[in-house]
Amino acid sequence: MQMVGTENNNRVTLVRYLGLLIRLVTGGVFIVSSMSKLPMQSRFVEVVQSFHLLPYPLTVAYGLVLPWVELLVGCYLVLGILVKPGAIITILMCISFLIANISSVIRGEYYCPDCFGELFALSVTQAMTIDILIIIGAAVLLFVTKKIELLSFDSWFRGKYGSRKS
Amino acid sequence: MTNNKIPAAEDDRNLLDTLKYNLLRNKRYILYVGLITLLILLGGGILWSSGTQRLSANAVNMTVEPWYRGPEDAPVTIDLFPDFKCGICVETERMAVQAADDFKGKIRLVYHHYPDTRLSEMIAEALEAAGEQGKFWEMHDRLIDNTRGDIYQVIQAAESLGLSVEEFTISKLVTEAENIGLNVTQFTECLVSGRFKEKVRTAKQEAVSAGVKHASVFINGKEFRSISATYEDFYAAVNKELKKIGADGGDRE
Repeated sequence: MQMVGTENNNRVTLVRYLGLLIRLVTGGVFIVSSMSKLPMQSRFVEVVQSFHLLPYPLTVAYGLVLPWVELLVGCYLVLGILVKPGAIITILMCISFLIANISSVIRGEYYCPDCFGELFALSVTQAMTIDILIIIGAAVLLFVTKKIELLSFDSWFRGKYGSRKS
Repeated sequence: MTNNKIPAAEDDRNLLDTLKYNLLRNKRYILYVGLITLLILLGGGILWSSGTQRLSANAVNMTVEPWYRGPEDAPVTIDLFPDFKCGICVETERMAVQAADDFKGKIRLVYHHYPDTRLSEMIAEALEAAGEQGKFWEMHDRLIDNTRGDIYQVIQAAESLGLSVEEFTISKLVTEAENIGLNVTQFTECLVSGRFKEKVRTAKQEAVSAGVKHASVFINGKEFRSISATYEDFYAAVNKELKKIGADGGDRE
């Protein structure tokens, strides 16, 4: 019985650290990505338009909103705020990036310009690999880690105000 | 009856307390997260505004002569650095030209080449070729005129139909050259020989050295953030500059 309890504890600890790692890496990627896009939003809108996937008004809206969503979701993930809604938005964003990258492959383009603004250029394969890894990470956050987040604002808040004292 | 009511009343009280507590807790959570969100958005705002470019002093040292339109002593100078393969850039070019018409004599347009792709380079070379025959601005205005399809729309149409974008673009350039009465043989020879390629590339390099990080428009040296902007925004930005020197252009009706 004690061994089973220890194994469970180890698993919980592992999941907590894994959750923290995923939050920090995914959040970090989004923060860096948004930081590179925000100062050059018009350039990013042009990049969105160059994929020819959305009608013009939607490309403008997507290009305008996406860097801000990336920034908010990235910071929330790093701080551990609303992790599950953040994970859902992360998956949706990465699916949209995957669709864009697949369309690039179909058009015979091999580079993903401005995926990270002008910080560094990625090949479409690299960009797609990152998208898939982030989707897997976000799915882990969504389905595996549950409410056992390490070093998170939500856990701190629950600990401080969560249990009702009589 | 009495025994049944007392626990119910207690339950109600408990329920009320729980609701009050949860409300307070949620309010506190919303307050904390709201404050954090505000801080994040503030940081984002600082980043966003850091992207507003200003033309550096190097801009006056450019060796490639830009193309001018409007009086030299105009109170407002609009520097154009367009990439014709970019829809927003073409739209902003249109706004600048319309503003120059609306604020007659108060605006000086300065055109600099800023092509981002080979195709845009070719369009810039075509403008130079038209300029050689004294019709730079006529050609420029034709390329951004969207009543018959501007150059960006032509490129988009070719791309979406899977046709040769280069052929479509050349055809548009030659058509417009004919429409404004250029010597088409001379014009085409310029495009084929790439006579202005070096000039266009040098102009782009000098623009980059002058602090222009991407295709943009500057009103008195300050970038006009054109994304999702309307002509009213552009008009207001020009008017703001005029108001600074007491030459208000009047409100737009």
